[in-house]
Amino acid sequence: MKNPVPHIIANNTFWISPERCLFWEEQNSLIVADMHLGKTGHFRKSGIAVPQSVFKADLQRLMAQLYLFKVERLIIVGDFTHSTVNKELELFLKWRNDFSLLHIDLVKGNHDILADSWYHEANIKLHEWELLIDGFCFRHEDKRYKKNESADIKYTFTGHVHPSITLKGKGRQSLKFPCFYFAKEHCILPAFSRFTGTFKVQPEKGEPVFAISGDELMQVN
Amino acid sequence: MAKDIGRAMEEVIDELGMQWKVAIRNGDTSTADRTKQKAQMPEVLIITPESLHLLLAQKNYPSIFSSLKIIAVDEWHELLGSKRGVQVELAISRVVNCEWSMVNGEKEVVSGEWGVEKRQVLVWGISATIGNLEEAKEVLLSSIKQKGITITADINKKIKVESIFPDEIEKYPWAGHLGIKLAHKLIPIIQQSKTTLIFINTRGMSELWYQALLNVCPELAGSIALHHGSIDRELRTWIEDNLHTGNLKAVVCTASLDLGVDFRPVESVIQVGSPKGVARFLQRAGRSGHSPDAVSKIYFLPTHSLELMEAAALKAAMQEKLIESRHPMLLCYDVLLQYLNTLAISDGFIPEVIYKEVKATFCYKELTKEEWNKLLFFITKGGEALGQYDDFKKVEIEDGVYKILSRKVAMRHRLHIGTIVSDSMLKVKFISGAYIGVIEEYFISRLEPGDVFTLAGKNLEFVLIKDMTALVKKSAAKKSKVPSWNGGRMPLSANLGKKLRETLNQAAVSVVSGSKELKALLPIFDLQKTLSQLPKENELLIEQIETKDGFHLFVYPFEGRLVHEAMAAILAYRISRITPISFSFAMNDYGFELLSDQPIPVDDRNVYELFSPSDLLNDIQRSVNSTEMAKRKFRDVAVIGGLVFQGMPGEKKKARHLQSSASLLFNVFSEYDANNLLLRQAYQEVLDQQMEEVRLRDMLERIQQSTIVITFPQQLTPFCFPIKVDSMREDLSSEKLEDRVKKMQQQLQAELFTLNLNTAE
Repeated sequence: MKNPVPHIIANNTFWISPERCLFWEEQNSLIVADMHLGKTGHFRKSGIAVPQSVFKADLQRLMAQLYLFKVERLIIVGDFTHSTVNKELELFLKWRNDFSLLHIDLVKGNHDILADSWYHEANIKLHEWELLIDGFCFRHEDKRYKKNESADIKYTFTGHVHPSITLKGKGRQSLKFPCFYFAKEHCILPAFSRFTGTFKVQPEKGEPVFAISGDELMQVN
Repeated sequence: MAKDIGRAMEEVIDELGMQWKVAIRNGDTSTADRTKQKAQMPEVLIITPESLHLLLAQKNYPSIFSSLKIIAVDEWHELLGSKRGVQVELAISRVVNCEWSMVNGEKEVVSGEWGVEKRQVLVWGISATIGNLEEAKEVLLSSIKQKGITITADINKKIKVESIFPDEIEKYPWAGHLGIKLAHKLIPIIQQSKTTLIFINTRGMSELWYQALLNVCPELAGSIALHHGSIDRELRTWIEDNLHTGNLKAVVCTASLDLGVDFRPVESVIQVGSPKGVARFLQRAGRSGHSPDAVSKIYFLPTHSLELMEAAALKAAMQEKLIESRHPMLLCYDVLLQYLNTLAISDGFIPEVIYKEVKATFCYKELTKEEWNKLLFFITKGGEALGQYDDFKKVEIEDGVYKILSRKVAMRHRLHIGTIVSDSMLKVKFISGAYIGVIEEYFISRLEPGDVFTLAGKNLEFVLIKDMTALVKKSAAKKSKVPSWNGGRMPLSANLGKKLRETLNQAAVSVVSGSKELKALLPIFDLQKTLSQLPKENELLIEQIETKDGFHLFVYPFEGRLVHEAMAAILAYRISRITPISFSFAMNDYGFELLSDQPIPVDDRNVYELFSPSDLLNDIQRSVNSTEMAKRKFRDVAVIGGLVFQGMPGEKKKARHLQSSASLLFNVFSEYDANNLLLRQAYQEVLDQQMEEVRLRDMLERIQQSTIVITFPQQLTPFCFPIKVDSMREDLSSEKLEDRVKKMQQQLQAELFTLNLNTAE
């Protein structure tokens, strides 16, 4: 389906968007993971000519989602930026000015290595380990989740893995798609950026998985 | 190999009492030796194409070539059809012109021994006999714009081919076999010859054969060795040295011993399975019988019955000297990009000068100014970008000279010079420390600790991976996995295919007049004739057979597996236009199969149209999943073109923010820069190499001129059996991606999500 699909968790509605993000209706928030902003710039700085239009398209897709859902708050579960500061991040700062009313939370991921002052300038609220909103938890990695379990958390959203699922057909056909993976107690979001590799996840039976094929969603598990 | 040539040259120089120094420069040359060479170039430098380009990457490189008189390219026939050959073309185009050094954009005459006069470098190519020797010469000499001369050695080496026959042809397997049942027949040959080389087509099979020979004849232990590309280089060198001295009785080997200086003690060569081409068979035969009037002796051991036909075909082809051509590669943008960067890290280049030189090569003579400008744009601006928000930095322009100024970028480029892209390999070592060889990472990644596999003839138990090394210990287990290495599956050559059709013709007309091999195959031919037919030279045989698996259509063009694979997809597509039908297919070097659950509507009325060459290109695009194929080709292209950074030795961690896979880049380029030249090249390579489009077209035109015979056998025939058993099965995948996904989903019995915003509200 080309349109977002609702998914209910603990009486809250999360709209799954084929543009690789979740809209949390009750909180009017958009949840994204692994934007890796500045990745193309980082490659290009080193002489590897990756088309910069991927970066531009990523930003435009984010903007379109913010408009579509009329979002007040953006929650990023880590790896918002890819590496050190470069000019692509300057473009983001300029873009940020146009969305100055948007509240942005970032739960730090392993790629978020910029100085705190940069996030301050970008008007992004930093969360070192996790962010808790109304019993829902936001973290970058599942591993950290296990280290630090607390009983009254309803559900956790993470990124980091860049999950994908492989669909096998007859013969030796197989196709790989980025996906949303809803495990029992946590969800792994697909990487928002299109310039990212993926890692195959192996869901258990009954764990919903939504694969993204082009601009369509399919539930495959 | 370089060492052998060096040794041979030194012998000659000694005999002539000259004072020349011979040196080698390749990946193994030590830094000390390199510095020594730079200070004082030896009279003779033996060098690889890669190392030659590395010389071009050095500051002030023209001085290195200032006293150069002769460039001699050995084994040119091997280089010709590859990107390494293109590297040679480019290097020559620069070296013969580079007395014009460029300093600060000004042309400055480097005065060498030859003063300011235009120096003429002589270019020699040394080649085995190939079908297009004239063209090979033209390619090599293209840059110096000379016709050149050809000197042919007046040697008419006698070659004796002998087939190894199974005792009862009917009982010899029709398919799915390595020929090991006949291993005992090799023992007398090995014992009677001073030294024997046993050529096996794949590394995996060679491991099995090595074991099999030891099982059949345990007393060979110690005097028999295994030689293939994954075996430790030191061990290989040891084997080669012992081949020279005659200390080894037999060596089981792959194409790893095709090239190089000859081993005098070798008296017999055994080819196991199809050599796939006439040239390769001759080259291998020539590995034996080296004293001046000795006869080269090669034995052919079939891995299945019908393969015996190939022995007869090979003999005929040798008599007619029907040797394959090697087609030079054209417009390799990836190699050119790499070359431009190479020049940019040494003295820099002036585009007008280099454009002329590049255009003068054979590979790039059709290069347009527009493509050239695109390439320059790519290395200087990184293609289209976001103006002020871009940091792209690679080649910079200083007073008209294109240069790479960043030391980091230069160093990275230097490490990536070359056109051989290998799978990521892991070293294999005993826990105790001894090194055994290398193995593809993907094979090891499928092993669990405790699994046993075979490498270099040893059964090894996998323990763990540490620092890019697979640690193993000796295993006494009887059963082990044999790694199936990627690659090495060459298709049957067009020449051998043609000869095979002629051989069959002879069998169809009269076996009695035929060779020993044909006579031996008589029972099988009779069965084929009874059940179906033996195709004559001007006939294409099609068999339609119904079994409990479904409806089969077998076609036998004898054009090699790649052409068959493409043809199967095209035929399936064309049939599915007549009626909705889906197929799975299989192929080998002799023919291919379509299998369906419903009758296949092919008959006398439509069959010529189904094999028509018209609209071929469009039908290829519609029928074959060329995107997937191009994605695979793009891997090499992206590495050679400098898009995939494989990491610096010992610096793996620091570079992790620069890692991306070629398939990710392929997707990104496809979506955001579809006109990229490297992307285009990947698709072209699929057409040229994966589909062998020219050959495919030739085949269709031949079929139009011949009689198509359709038979309806009541059971599987000797011809179709190997296809059925041997080949992998690939599902027809001409449907659109979404449709494929949907089909797969049904198989997975998953529900398609039907909700959308409106219905949810």
